[in-house]
Amino acid sequence: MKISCRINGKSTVFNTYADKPLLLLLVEDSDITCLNPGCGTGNCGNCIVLLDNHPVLSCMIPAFRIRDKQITTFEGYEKTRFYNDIARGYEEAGATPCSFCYTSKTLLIESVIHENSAPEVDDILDMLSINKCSCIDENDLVKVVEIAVKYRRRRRVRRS
Amino acid sequence: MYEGVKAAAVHNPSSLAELVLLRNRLPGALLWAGGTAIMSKTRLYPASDGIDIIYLGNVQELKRISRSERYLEIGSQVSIEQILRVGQHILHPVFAGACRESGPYVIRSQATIGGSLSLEDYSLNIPTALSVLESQVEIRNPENKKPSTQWIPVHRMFSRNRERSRLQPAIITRVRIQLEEGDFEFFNTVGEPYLNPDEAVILSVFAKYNLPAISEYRFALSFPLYGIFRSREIETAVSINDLPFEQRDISRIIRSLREDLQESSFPISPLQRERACRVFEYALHRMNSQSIK
Ligand SMILES: Cc1cc2nc3c(=O)[nH]c(=O)nc-3n(C[C@H](O)[C@H](O)[C@H](O)COP(=O)(O)OP(=O)(O)OC[C@H]3O[C@@H](n4cnc5c(N)ncnc54)[C@H](O)[C@@H]3O)c2cc1C
Ligand code: FES
Repeated sequence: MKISCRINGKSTVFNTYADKPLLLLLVEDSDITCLNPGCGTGNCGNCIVLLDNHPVLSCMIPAFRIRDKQITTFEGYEKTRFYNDIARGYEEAGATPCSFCYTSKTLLIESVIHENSAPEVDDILDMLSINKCSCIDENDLVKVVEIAVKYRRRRRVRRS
Repeated sequence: MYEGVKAAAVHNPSSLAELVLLRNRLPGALLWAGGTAIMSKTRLYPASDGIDIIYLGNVQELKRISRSERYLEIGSQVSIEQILRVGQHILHPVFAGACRESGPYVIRSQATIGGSLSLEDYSLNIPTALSVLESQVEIRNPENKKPSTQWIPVHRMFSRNRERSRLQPAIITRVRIQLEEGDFEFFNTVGEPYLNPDEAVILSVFAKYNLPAISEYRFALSFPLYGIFRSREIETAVSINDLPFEQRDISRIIRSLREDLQESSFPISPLQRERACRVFEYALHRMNSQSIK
């Protein structure tokens, strides 16, 4: 089955099986290197990508669901100016995720602040709870998000 | 690595009529809703037998939510997260609680109500809450020459997990929930129903009272691998009491529940039995404290 989509802004065509998980497509059939095949069953939460700007577990998305969609992996996201807000959040809170979950946690944080300009603690923890890696304390994670929200707000004010 | 793997064909019906025709033609095809349960089983890919997939996500009729004076009707392709956005003032607290606890946001926004009612080997949050609300599910059976529609109480589908496979290859199209308000509603899970189904317990309660009398008390206890347990006797044993309950009434009810669970045909573990009794007792105390506020 031929499937065309955009990965990090670049048009891509896969000739693949309809039910092949997006995670495997990215790892085996594209030049994306920030993802590792993890549990593959929705349990570890370490395979987050953005599908049309919404966070999904790439191991839960079959190839046929990505037709004509926009996929953003961490590699694409880190080139945007939005990434700086979160990077500053990590720096100022003095808490950075480990190398296993960094990319997924960062995309999840982006989703919290993208979908809600004033997220409550419950919203933050709900969004991040899909990622099971406990390298960062919950309170620190909330702090990171709050700092990132502050920078994002400034960015929005400057733009308007 | 995947040589010899036969490709799955994906069918994309856009209307219910088209879906029913397709299902009639392909009764063995895999219905694909949100795909969270399907994809979490690693055995699916690569599908060695080139199964047909019928994707339900483009069937417009299945994505609707409507409300009348008496009912809320939810199409089977509505995601659990979309249901939560309907608003707390419309949703029964027991149903909203079940939706909220159906996994993290990322799962809830992909998983559908139809999918959660079609899991063959699990009875999880949503069926447990809908069972106590006496909700019904609309089933389209495409097997007959003239496809038939049937409304089935959720509880009947889940009284034993095994019985659900008899509904294959039917399609769940809608869920109908009565809007009758309860005076006390409760939803709680003990353990992790999806990850550790053999240890977890889910409890839903719906009750009406006019102090001090209880006019109605319904409960559903789910043991995810085996099905949903309900008992008219226990419901009566609760509702014959006045509120607030006395401790000796609570102890008597819990003793009966423990005996009933022991005698039931659910092969639950002692841990699950204990968890079921404790969460049931907790709900009785919660109802008590609410009634004296
Ligand atoms: C990581 C993770 C955590 C979870 N945590 C929880 C939790 O805490 N609590 C909880 O209750 N649940 C939990 N779940 C389970 C989740 O609720 C189910 O996976 C989900 O409800 C299934 O819905 P779906 O739309 O994704 O179904 P799918 O995966 O698409 O389908 C599931 C089954 O239903 C069939 N089917 C789907 N739609 C229909 C239809 N309309 N008619 C007939 N058959 C149909 C499919 O053929 C398939 O057999 C979790 C799941 C995951 C992956
Ligand atoms: S690889 Fe573990 S959740 Fe996707």
